[in-house]
Amino acid sequence: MHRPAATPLARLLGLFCCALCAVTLMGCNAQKAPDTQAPETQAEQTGDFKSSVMFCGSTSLYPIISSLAGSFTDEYVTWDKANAELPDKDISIYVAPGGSGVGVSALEDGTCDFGMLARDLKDEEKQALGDYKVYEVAKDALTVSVNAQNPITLDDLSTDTIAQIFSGELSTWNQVDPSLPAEPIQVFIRDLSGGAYEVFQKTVMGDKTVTDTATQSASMTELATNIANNPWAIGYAGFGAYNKANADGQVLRALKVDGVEPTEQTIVSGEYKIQRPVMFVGKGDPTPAQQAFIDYVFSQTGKEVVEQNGYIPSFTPAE
Amino acid sequence: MALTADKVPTRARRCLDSVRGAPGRLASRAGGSPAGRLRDRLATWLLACLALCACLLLGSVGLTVAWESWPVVTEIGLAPFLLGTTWMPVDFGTGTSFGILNFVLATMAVSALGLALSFCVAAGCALFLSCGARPSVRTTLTSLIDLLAGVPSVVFGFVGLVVVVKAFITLGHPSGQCVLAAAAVLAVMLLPYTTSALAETMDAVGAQCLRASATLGVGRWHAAYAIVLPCALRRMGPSLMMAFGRAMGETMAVMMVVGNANLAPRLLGKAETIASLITLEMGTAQAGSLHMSALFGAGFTLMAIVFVVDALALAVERRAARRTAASDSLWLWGRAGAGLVRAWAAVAAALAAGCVLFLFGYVFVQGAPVMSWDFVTQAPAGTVLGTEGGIAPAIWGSLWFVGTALVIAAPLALACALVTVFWLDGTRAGRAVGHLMAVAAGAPSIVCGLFAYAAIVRGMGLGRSVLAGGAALAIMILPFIEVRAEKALRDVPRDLLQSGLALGCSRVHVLRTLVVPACTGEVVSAVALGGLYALGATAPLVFCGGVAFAPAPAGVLQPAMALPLHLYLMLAQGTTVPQVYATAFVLMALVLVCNLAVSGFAAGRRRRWLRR
Repeated sequence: MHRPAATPLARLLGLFCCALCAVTLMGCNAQKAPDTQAPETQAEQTGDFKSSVMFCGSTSLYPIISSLAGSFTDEYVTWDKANAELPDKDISIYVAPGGSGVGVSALEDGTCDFGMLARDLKDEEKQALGDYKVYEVAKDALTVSVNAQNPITLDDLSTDTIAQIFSGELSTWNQVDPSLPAEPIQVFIRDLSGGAYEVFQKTVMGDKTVTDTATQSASMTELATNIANNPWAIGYAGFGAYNKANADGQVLRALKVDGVEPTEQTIVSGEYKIQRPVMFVGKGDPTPAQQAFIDYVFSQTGKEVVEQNGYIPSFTPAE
Repeated sequence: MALTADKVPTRARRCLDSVRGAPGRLASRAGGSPAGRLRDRLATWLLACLALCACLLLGSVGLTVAWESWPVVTEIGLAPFLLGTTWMPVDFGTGTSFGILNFVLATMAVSALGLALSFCVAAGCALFLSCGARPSVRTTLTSLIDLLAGVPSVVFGFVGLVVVVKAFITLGHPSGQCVLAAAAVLAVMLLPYTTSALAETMDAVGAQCLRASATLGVGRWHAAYAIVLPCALRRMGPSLMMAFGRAMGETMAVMMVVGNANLAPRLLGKAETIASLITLEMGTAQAGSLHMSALFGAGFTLMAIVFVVDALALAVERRAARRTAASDSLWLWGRAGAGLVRAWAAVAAALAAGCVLFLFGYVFVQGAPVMSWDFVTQAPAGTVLGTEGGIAPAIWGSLWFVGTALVIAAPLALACALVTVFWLDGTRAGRAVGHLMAVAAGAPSIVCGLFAYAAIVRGMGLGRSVLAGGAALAIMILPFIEVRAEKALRDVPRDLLQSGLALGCSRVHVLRTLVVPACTGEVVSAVALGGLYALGATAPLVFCGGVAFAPAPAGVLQPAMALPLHLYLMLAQGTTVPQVYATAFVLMALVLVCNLAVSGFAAGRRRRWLRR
């Protein structure tokens, strides 16, 4: 009986399987060689000039860096105008958000030039990075804010009380302040990829964990907006986001923590405990092009942008 | 409007016409010139190759997810992972635990509730479209509802946040964000899919029974109530389950409205779906850590549930197909029931149309004051980014991403559809491909982003780039385009193919000269709608190539801004809400223009084909 010929698809499948086996065998041999195909983002090029700089990370810092990148590109357009020794190439600065965690992992992976963080580097991260440089741009404090419409008479909470509120042990407003009605406390926090979560956990919560009923927000400004939209909300809005939200009239009210009010003086002096550095980190030494932009960030323009975004600059400009 | 057999000119004449044009082509019959046969064979192998690549690409995404989540089984244990309710992935001194039960329940609850709400409106609307509407009203209403399918999920989330959540707050809910709000937003997003699926089922039933009932003197709405509705309801299972898969994979819109808290889902309580979990936490998980494996494990669980639901749907469909229509009629409450159903159909159709008009109108009205030519042509600026300037780099970036995605996905999807319909129809391989596409369509879009990050950004060392983002989008839209193209190809009358083959022409030749020109309009619209879907995607781009600030892209190896990502970041800023409306305005305007262009093109092609 005449055997039916295999369909093209069946024959192709057979061919493909043979090819797959061959490729796998070749791949096994090739894998012995170390992977030197690390993306070249750091400044080792002797011949190649990299006209792009990539920042990645904190949702608190990226608006500042983006704004400065925009004005830097508008002002100089090509690298040689910023620094006469650089070639005449178009300036491209890329800023990607994602959270402080993304900033560090991207820097470790080598997929970005600078990782932006809104917290200190952890020990294991310092070890993984090896040779790194920290450029601290600003200080941010975490205010313990309630909605301005909340009629709370207390304006000072102890760290313990705050921890109890955020962990859910105190669940209604009348347990905090007897003059308030028995409304459930709506807790707003940052998500786990935000540096703020860790800072708050370390400085306030200690051994307690934040309650499961807390709503996570993906960025500080979203957190501030959430508190502003909800009369019975409480959350740790960043100082910058707090100021931005109150720019057109007070919608948030920051409470004192252990008697210390969050102001510029108390934050810079370190008296206000719940604070964090806002910075970017690079591996090794920056290239001349990167240095040109870094100088721009730490100039008077940079200081103004940091202040207008509501943060406290932790540098004084060079001139 | 389906291309029915009686509208197509003589099949044999058409085939001869196409062959007559070039004398050399007659020789491409079996037994003809070797050059012609070789060319046809190469074409067949090329199609098979591309189709295989498409299936392998989707399969490798699934395999990668499974591979990455293997540590869940070895280090956490399946039972604690699937049945535990504590989720503390980072050790703050209190240990770590990975339990996703709440997330699984929340995903299923939000999807089921959204589907139920959508179905209530869609059933009435479909009944109206199928039995109650004049053809002109039907086409207008169908195109209107189909517009919803193109609206980006970020815009749904945004409008849900400013309208639905605010409504809940004014009605007394403490935070406005809850499972019900998310289900309401999801219901509106699912409307086009449920309505079209139900309308098709009702058309099929109507074609069988309505003429006979009219001959017997039964009124149109009585027949609709007593025959069409019960039959369709009994057969809607499979299509509803497909929509369920789509609902499960929905990321952005639900994430912005559901509250994101690790709680067991309650109607007015906050919850967190698996897709939002992955999106929110993937940034903080270190590569290779248990946290990352747990997130992949959650994604795999989601895909497994979609797989099971889809398999159930297929089984139900096959069982239902064996039943006859005669046993399914129902005459409950007599005339009063018919009147109620008629009123419900009208109300549902009005509600569906109202949703679409409100969505577009709201965004256009709010965004119009900020819109200007400068907004579309300048880069974002201002000391607080975005308060000045415009969104030009985002528009260019989006176009580059969509272009790259289409260049990768369109050939693969179309080849896969061609091979499935014309070579594998009815075989187990064909059903397996259909199954694969259904599961891939239900996967959360962030999984595509993760795969592209692992394969292209880190694996190939290209870093964040348009290519990586485009590849992620391509994986996301591949099943979308494939399913629609398959449907378009199946609608072409089989007689065309068979008469061509009977004349001795090779299959590829008949496809190229007869079948594909017959449905070019629908195929092009499938590809264009896939591009629109890619335009609105946010989650896959976050790790692959979408950035908050970049100049307009000059090549595929650089990162770029993207419109929906820009919208989401501006919204998170809080200070640039008018600009958010304007960005949404631009997105919706693009959706509207593309839809009109595509349906105009499809209608034009159909008219030209029928005239010949």
